[in-house]
Amino acid sequence: MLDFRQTLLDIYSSRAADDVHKSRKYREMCEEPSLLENSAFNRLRHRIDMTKRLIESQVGREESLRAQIQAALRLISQYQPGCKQNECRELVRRTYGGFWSREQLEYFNRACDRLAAWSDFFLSFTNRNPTKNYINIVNRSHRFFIQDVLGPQHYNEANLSKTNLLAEVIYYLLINYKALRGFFCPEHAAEKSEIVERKLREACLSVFSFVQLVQSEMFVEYDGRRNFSHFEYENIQSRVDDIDLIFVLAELREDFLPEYRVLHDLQGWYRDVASRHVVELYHTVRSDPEAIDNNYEKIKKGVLRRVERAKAKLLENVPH
Amino acid sequence: MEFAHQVVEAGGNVWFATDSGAYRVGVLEERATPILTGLLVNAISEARNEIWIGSEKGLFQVEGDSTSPIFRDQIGSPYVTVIKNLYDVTWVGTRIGLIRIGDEGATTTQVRGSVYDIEGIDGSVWVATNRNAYRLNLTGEFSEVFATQSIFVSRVVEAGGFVWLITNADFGLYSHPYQVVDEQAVPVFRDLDVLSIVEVGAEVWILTTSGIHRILGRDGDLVAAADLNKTISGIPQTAVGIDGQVWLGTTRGLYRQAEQEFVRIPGSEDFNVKGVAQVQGAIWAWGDRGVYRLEFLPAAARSGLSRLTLFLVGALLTALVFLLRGRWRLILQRLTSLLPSDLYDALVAAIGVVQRKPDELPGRLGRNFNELEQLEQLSKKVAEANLARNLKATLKIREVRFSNLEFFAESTWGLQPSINILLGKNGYGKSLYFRSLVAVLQNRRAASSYLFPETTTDASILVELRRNQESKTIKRTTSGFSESIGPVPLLAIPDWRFVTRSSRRITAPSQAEIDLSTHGADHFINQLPYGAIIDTLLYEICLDYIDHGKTFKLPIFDFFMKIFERLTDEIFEFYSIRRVGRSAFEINVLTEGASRPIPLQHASQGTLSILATFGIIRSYLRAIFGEHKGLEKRPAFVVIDELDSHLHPSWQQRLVNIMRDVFPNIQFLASAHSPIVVAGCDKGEVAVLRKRADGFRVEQLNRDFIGATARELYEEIFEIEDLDETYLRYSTKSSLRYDYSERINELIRGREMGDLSVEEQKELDYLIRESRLIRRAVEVREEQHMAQVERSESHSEGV
Repeated sequence: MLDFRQTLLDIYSSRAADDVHKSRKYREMCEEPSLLENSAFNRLRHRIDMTKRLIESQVGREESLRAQIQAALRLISQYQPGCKQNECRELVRRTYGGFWSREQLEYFNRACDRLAAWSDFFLSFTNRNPTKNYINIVNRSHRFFIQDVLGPQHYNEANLSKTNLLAEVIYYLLINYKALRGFFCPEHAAEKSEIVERKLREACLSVFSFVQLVQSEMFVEYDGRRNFSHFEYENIQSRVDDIDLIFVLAELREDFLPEYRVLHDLQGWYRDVASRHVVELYHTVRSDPEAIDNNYEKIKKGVLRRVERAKAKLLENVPH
Repeated sequence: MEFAHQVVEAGGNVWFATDSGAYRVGVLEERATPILTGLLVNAISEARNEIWIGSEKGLFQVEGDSTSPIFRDQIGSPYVTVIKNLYDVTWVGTRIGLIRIGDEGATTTQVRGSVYDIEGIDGSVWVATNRNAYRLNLTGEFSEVFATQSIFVSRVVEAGGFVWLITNADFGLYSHPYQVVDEQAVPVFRDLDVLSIVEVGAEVWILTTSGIHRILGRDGDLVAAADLNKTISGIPQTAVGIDGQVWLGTTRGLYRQAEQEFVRIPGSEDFNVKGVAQVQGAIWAWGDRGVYRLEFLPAAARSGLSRLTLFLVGALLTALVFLLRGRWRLILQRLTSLLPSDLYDALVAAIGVVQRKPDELPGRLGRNFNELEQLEQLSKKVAEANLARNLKATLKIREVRFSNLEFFAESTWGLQPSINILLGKNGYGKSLYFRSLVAVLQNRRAASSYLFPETTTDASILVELRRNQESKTIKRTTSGFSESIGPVPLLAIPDWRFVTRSSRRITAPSQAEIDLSTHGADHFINQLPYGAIIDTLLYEICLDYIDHGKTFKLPIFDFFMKIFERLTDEIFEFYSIRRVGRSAFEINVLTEGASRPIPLQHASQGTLSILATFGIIRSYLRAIFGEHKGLEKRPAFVVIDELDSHLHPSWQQRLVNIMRDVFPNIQFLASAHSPIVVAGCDKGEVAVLRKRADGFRVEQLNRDFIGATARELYEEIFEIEDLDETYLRYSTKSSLRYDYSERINELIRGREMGDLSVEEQKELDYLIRESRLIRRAVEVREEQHMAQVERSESHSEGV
């Protein structure tokens, strides 16, 4: 079927979907009884035909080349990475790519690679618990919001001293509202630190935005353990491209660690956080429907939309 | 010498296949000579005028006192399990299939799986494997006996005019024979744990773990040979028919049938007998202590025969020894069958030809068979105590992890406390996944072994769970359970949950009542018919009605009414229950679409499926907790295979939420085909079995499906594009822009003028149909394109 895929892509790239019957090769292929009765072939042909028609209606209608590339990237981003996305990309490139400048074509290829391999966001957080074996303060402070999002049973059955359920809440809301793809690793204590570091470094290099759930415990010494939140921040900062950093403060601003208590090596990071617009969530130690509703809104507006905008930059930056 | 597997005659000698090699003993020899040592030998046979040895490292041929490997270039060195010569062909069973060796050399066959037995019956070759039974058909190909399911068949036996397939459903303790009649394997004697079937004279005997039974008549009525069983000690292991008598091996020795009792052969008391055979006229028995041969002994004096008789017999023996020298043993053995029974028992005793010392036995078996039995009893009691403890506890399964198994890729499934749905296409292994998981939870070693590859040692099924808020682990590895909390009580409902619709009558269940609290998963694991469970449910409903003064104001009727009201928005009522004869009932119901009461069995298959599913879950809770108010709120663990079977899509959409509301504390694990079932499911409650390069993998969807439409579920979430094949074919045709109009008009004109031939009329009909379908395909494609554009534009708002 792989051969037919390539032949069909060749044919559909070289002419409009309505004109494929003019291709002698196409007619020979479709009139071959063994293929006409082959449901896998018919399904593949139908899929490529529908994709090409969608491209013609969405991309072909644009008047400028830049708008064409933007429409194409918008369309490609709607497919999950895999063969359908690849087919769409191939059809666009071979139908319209010939008219684009070399710079535009290179940008298109790079953007498509990112759409296929990158996640929408990296969610950085900490499992550090200043109360050690008691309930993690972040789980206690946001108890009713967590229960509202993840369900009371999830809250009651979780290991409240060793997990960060607020991070789970943010991850869940982001992937659930708009089916975004995110990198989130709830725990990696069991793995060797070099494996974890490699995994984190690779993930940091392949995301459109960086969301960090900030807590005071990130900026102090903690039993001599590795500070992965700082490691993630540094890796993001080391990227040459401009990436959106979105900070969510897990505690009240007045409770946030004062600068003089921050470890010397971490002060740059601390100042960066303090200098930005940070999303502050209301505490829900008690059941407070209004605070819960406000938190949903804050995550939607302050995090979700910004994550979406970060990905949309891919379209904004298409060269003229 | 280690554990013995087989004693056979080959090349005029007696051969032993054992854990540590192949041994040979001649007629005049008292001790065995090792021929091939240092590897496990399962089978020895005289084949193609040579003696062949089947070992864990392939086939060997005996040359004098040494051996050499054979057929290496054709078959490699597979693990050989059985060798049989049938119909001029040598059949070699291995762990991975069956090899045929004829004049043309070795060829593989269609038979797959570990071969356990090969028999020639009525001109055909029958093969038992751990995946199925196979039969050589007239075209020279093997066909599967069980076409629809995989069954572990351990033996094929011909007895009483039937072929019997003994299955090894669960560690040999739940074996079931299948009687083959008219090519169809029919399950019989389901309640028996069958070990062997023996035909002696005109009688067929069945040996089970609980004793020996006799089948009377062609229809197979079963009679427990109670008197005979009283005379047996130990756990039965094997039975054979020799010289018109049943010979029996148990964990406590070797027995011979004598009239209405079994008599133990002296000297075999401490011998765990795994096999018995008559070879070269002598009786041989073998097991985990080596090989024994029955011999005459002076110890026969223990029988209490008179000194005079003993003197006469002794004198006779002495004279024979002098006369016949070394041949005396053989001749005496031949004479044994002529001796009166009591004299035979007095004179004969089991003597070890090759023996293993008791202290070489593996520690877990114990040093003697008293200990072995005590250990078995103890382990049974521990399992019962664990089950009783688990029945009283609140259990929630947290996570299931499959690693390095066959068929399934590495995957972890985090289970939610209430609903867990596993979606997947046919053939992706949903039922297999569930059956393996249920077998692990129930602590069933054999039933959970199917997915474990024979070559990998790090395969495992790991279940993390909480018992009364305490974390526990169950771990099944290649070698068995490395961590366990005993059997986890659960109800597993198979997809074959049908109410018998052929009769309106509901009769008393034919089988003994099944305790669902402890046996709620048996039918699912062993793939047994589920009718008896449903019949019991309906019969109990009828009895409840009668016992409570013929009223429908009972919790069970309210329960069903509420479920159907939510499911259908229509009425469902039990209208009448009428006694028919002494022990049967008829139930009439008022249901959707029926203007008057109808027999329950005439309700839709969907209605009956819901009735069976919810009713059995309630019965299960009642079996554990007893009938009381709020019974449905009690905690339990329930597995349902193919939840959506027979249900209309609108019912599928509502079902899961009804389950959640009606049984709020039951943890459900259900498989389904239809994505519609998951509408309204919360995050983590849905997982999909997907086909990946390394096998089928459970992928948990970490998002909710609240408010999701059917289109979203199908197209976006599950990426299902199973467009019908007619549309796809005509869509391809439509792209070719055929224009039939000219030819159609020409043919129509011809018809109007009355000169259309039969062929032309056929052509006209064909072209009209083609045109119509092509036009329809274009319309559908346009509709799909518009919907696609609309979806794409609504998506684009975010980017």
